[in-house]
Amino acid sequence: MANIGVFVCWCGSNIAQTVDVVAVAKAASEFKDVVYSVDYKYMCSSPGQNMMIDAIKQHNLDGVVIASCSPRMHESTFRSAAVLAGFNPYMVEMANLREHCSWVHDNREEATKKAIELVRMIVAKVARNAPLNKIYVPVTKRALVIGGGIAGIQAALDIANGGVEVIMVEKEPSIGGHMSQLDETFPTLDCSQCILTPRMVEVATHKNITLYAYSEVDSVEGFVGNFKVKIKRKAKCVIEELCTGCGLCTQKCPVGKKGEVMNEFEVGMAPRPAIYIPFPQAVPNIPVIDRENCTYFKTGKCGVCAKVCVAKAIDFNQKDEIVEEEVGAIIVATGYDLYPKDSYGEYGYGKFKDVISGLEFERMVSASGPTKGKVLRPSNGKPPKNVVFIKCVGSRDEKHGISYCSKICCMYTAKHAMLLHHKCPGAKAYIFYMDIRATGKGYEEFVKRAMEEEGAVYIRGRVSRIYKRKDHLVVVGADTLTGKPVEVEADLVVLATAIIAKDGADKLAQILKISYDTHNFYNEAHPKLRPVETNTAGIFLAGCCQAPKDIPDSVSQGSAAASKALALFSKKELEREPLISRVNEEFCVGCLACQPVCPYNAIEEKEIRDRKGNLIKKVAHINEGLCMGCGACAVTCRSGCIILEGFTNNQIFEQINTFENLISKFEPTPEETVAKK
Amino acid sequence: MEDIINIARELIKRDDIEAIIGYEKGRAPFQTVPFFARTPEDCDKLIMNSLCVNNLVSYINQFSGKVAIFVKPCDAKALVGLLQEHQIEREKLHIIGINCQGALNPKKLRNAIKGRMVKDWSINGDKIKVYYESGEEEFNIKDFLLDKCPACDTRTPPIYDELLGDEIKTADLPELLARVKELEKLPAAEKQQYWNEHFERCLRCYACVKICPLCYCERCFVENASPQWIDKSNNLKSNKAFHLIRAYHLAGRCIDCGECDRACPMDIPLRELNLKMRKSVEEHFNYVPGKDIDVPPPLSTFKKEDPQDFIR
Amino acid sequence: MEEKSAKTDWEPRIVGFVCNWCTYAGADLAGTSRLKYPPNVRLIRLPCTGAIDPLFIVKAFQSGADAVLVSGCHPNDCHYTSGNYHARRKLTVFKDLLEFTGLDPKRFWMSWISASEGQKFASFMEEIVTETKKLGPLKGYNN
Repeated sequence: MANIGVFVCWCGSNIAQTVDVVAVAKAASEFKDVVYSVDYKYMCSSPGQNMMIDAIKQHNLDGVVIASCSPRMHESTFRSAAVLAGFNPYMVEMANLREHCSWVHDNREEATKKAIELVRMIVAKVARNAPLNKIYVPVTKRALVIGGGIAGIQAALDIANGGVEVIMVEKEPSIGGHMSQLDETFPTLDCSQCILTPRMVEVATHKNITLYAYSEVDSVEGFVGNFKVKIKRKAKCVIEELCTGCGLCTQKCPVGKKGEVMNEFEVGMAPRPAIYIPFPQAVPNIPVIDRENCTYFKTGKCGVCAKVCVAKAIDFNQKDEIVEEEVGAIIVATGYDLYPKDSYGEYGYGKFKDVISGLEFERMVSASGPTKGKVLRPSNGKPPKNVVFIKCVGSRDEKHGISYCSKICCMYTAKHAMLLHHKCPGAKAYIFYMDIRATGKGYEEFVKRAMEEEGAVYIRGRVSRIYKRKDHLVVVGADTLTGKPVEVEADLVVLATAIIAKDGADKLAQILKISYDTHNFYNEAHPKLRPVETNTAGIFLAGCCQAPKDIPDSVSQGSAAASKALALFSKKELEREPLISRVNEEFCVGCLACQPVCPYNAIEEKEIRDRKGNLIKKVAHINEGLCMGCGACAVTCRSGCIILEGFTNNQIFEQINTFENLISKFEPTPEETVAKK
Repeated sequence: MEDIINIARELIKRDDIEAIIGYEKGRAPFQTVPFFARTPEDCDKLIMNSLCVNNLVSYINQFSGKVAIFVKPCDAKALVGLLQEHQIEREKLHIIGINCQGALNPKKLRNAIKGRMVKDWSINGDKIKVYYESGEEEFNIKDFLLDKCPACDTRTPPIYDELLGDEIKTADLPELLARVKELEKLPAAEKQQYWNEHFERCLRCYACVKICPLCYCERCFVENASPQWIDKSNNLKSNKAFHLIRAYHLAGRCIDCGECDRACPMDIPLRELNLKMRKSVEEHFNYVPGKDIDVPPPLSTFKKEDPQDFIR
Repeated sequence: MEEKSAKTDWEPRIVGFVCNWCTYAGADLAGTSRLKYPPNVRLIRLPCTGAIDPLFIVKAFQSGADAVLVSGCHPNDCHYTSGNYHARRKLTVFKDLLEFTGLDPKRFWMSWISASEGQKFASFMEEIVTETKKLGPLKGYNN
C-alpha cells in the first residue's frame, strides 16, 4: 500500500482564484493511498519545498503529488528537492492545475471538479510508480573524428587541447579537405593555405592526436561512451616510419607524364605520377602509391621509386590493414562533393574546354595551382577578356538539380570576380544570378565591393544555353529585371556547381547508424536546439556533411561538436535518465517488431542460454546507453513485454481507470476558512 | 498421393531431416489430422487433399532439428509471416509447396450427408465420394469450399524449396473484400449492433487465438494481469475490447487462412474483422501480408508520405 | 444504439493522450495565454504519440470517455524523430477498426498540435466538446 502525500498549490491567486484549492486538498485526502494532503500558497517557494521534504519524513511518504503548475515548468524543481530529502525523485509527479485548469476555465465549480479529477489521476499514477535510479554508463575518454577537412581539424584540435585523445581518420592521402584547394577566402581575401596549413601541422604534431590518413571507417559497434571502431588503413606501399618525404620518388615516377593520370587535388587540371603527394603542403607529407595506375602493380615491372628511395621506404607488399580503436564519442565531418560536371548539358561542361567549375577556377587562381595563379583559357592558354560566372548550377533547381541552396556560391562567385579583376586586369566578369544571398558578417559589403569597386556586372536571370561561335562561347540568357534577352560573348565560363553530399555518405550513415535526409546529408537531432548532435547518442556532426556551409560555419560546428564531446568526457560515467524501455525477457518471443520502430537503434537480439550454453530463446534487448525513452517499442510489443519506465502500462491504466467514477460534487470552502489561511 | 509419399520417403532418408510434417487421415468422417513422419514407413500414411485444412506451420517449432513440411498456399503465407517475425529459422526448413484450388469445409459436408453413417470417403479430382453403410454418394468439391477459398488469389505457395506441379495463376476471382465493403456501408449504429451481437455471444474460449498461426505470443495481451487491460469476465464490454485488440494485433499480419473462423464454436465472423484490417493496411500502406520475408511488418515501419486525411 | 441524451446536465467526458513535447506544451501555452475552453478534457501525458497504445483508447472508452483524442507533434517535428509517424500508421488502422465496429468517427480524434499552437489546442477542445455533445453519451463500450 502506498503512502501518498498531496500538495495543492495556490500559486498565489493564479490557481486559487478559479479553483477551490482547499476543497481539492480535502477531496484528495479521501483518495485511496493518500495519507497526507495540504494546500499552500507557493509550493515552489523555499518554504513550500521544505514543507514537502518535512512531510515526506513525517508521514513516511512513498509517493508525492504536487498539484500546481505544468510539470514542464517545475517537475525538475520538485524532483531535485526530493533528492535533498533522500527521496527517490521519480516518486514525485505533478498534476497541472494551472496551465490546464485555472487559467483556462472561468467557472469555479467546474474548474474545481476538474482539478480534483486531475489530482486523482496523478495520485492513481503515483501509486504505481516505482523508484528509479539514474543509469550510469562508463565512458572511454577518446574521440574519433571522421574527416580531416577544416571542420574535422577544428573539432580534433579543440578536443585534443581539452586533454582528450583523438583518432582522426581521413580518406585521402592528406588532411586539409576542400579548404586546402582554395586560393583566397571570402570576405577577407586571406590566403586559405596560409591559415589552414598551420592547423594541419598542429594535427600531425599534437601529442593527443593520432592521424590515420588514407584510411576509412570500416565498422562501428557499441554505443555512446563505448564505441568499437574498425578502421581500414589502405596500403600506401610506403613505410611511413622510414619515409623522409623528400619527394624524389614522385619526381622519378614515369607515370602521369602524358597526362594519363590526373591529379584529384587539381580537379583534373594537372597530371600526377602513380606515387604522389597530393599537394606540396600535404599532411602527412608522405607519398602513396596509387596501385591502380602504378606500372609495377599493373605489369610487375618498373619499381623506379624503390630504386631511387634512399630511405628504402617503398614496400610493394604492404596490404590494407584493419586497426581497432575504442572511443567514447564520434564526430562526423566527412564534407561534401560537387554536383557532377556533366549534369548540365546546356552549359556545355565537358564539351567546351572553356567551361569550368568554380573549384577549377579556384585552382587556376591559386599560386600553387596548375597555371601558377594565372587565369588562362584551357582551350588556348591565353588570358580571357570576358568571363561569365553562372550561379545556382544545380542548386535551387528542383527540376534538374536539387531543391536546396548551396549557400556558399553567391559569396565565392563574388570572390572569383574580384580575383579575376586582380589577376587579369582588364578582364570583365559577368555574373548570372537568381538572388544574391550574402547574409554573413561582412558578406553584403563584400558583394557590394565586387560590384562597385571591382567592376563585376551582375545580371539577374538564368542562362538558357551556351554555344560556340568561332573562338568564343556565346552565353544566352535573360535579364529578368529588364525583361530582355542577354547575350555575352565569353572567353571563359565558370559554373558555381551545387554542393551535394559526399559520395558514400549513406553507406557511412548505415555503419554509424545515424539518419540522413533525402539528399544524403546527415540529420541533426534538432534543427534548432541540437544542431551538432545526431539522434544516436555520442555521435556528433560538423561541417558540410550535415548541410552546405561556409568555412566560419564549419569551424563553429567543429568547435560545437568538440564541446559536446568534451562535455561527454567531463564525467567519469555518463549519467542517463532511467525513463527508458525495458524488456520482460520471460515473455518476450523475439519477434523483434520493436526493432525497426526504434529511432536510436537501441534494440538488438539477445540470446538466452542455459548454464550449459544451450540456446533457450532469442529475445529483444534494449541498450540502456542508447534508449531515449520514446516508448514506441512498448506500444509495438503485442504481448506487452516492453514497458516504458515512468509511463508503464500500469501507470497509464490506473490513470484511465479513475474515469470510471466521476467527481460529481464537492463542498465549496467557506470564504472565512480561506481568508484565515 | 504417390508423389508426396515418394518425396517424403526420399527426404526422410536424409541425415539432416528430423521429421516430415504433413497430414494423415483422421478417425472422424472427413477429418484429416497433422502427422509427423519420422521413418520411411510413416511416410506411407501421409495424405494430401482438399480436406487437409489445418495450418501446419505451428508445429515446426516442436522440433529442434530440420524438418520438411508440406505447405499449401495458406500455410506458406503464414510461414512468410513467421520468418519475417523471426519465429522460425529458414535453414531449419525444407518446404514442399502444394498447389491448392480450394479446401473443403468439413462442417458443410457433414450437413450434406444428413446424419448418415460414413464408412469411408475418397477424393478424386474435383469430386468427393462418400461411402455409407449402404450405398455411396458423390459430391462436387466446389460446392463445399471454405468461405475463404473462392476469392483466394494465391493458388501456389509464395515460398517453397520444391513445388509439386506447376505454378497456378488466377483470374476472374470473386471479390475478396465484398463482404467487408458491404458492412462498411451500414450506418454506425447498425455496425455497432451487428458487432455487439456477435461479441456478446463470445465465450472467450480463445480458440481463435490458439489456432492462429500468427498468434504465437507466450503471453497474450488478454492474459496480462499487470495491468489487466481486459476483464476476464465474459461480457460485452470486455469481449469487445478483446476482439478489437485481437484484430488490431493481426493488422498487416493476418494471411487470411480463415482458421479462426473455422475454430470459433460460436461462429463469430472473425475473418470479417481480419479482412477489414487487411483492407485498411493495403489501402493506406499498399501492403499485403504473407508475400515478402525481407520487409518489416507494416506497423513496425512508416513512410513520411503516409496518408493522414483524418488527422487535424 | 446512440441516442441523444435527454438530460441537460450530462457533460461529455473527453480523454486526450498527448505527447509531452508538442501538444502538452501547446495546452500549457493555451493556459499561459489565458485562452478559455470547456473543462471536459482530461489529458494524459506521454513522452510521445508513438507511445500511445490502442489499448489505452479502448480502455478510455470502457471507462466512460465519450470521445478520445490523440495529439502530438507535426510530421518532421517529433522529439524522437519518428514516433508521430509510427502513431499515425498504427492509429490509422485502429481508427478504421473502431469505425468498422460501429464507433462514430467523431468520437476518435487525432491531431498535430505544436508547442506554439495554444490557440489551435483551445479551439480544438471547444470543437470536440461541441461535436460530442451532439452525439450524446457513448454506448456499447462500457454498458
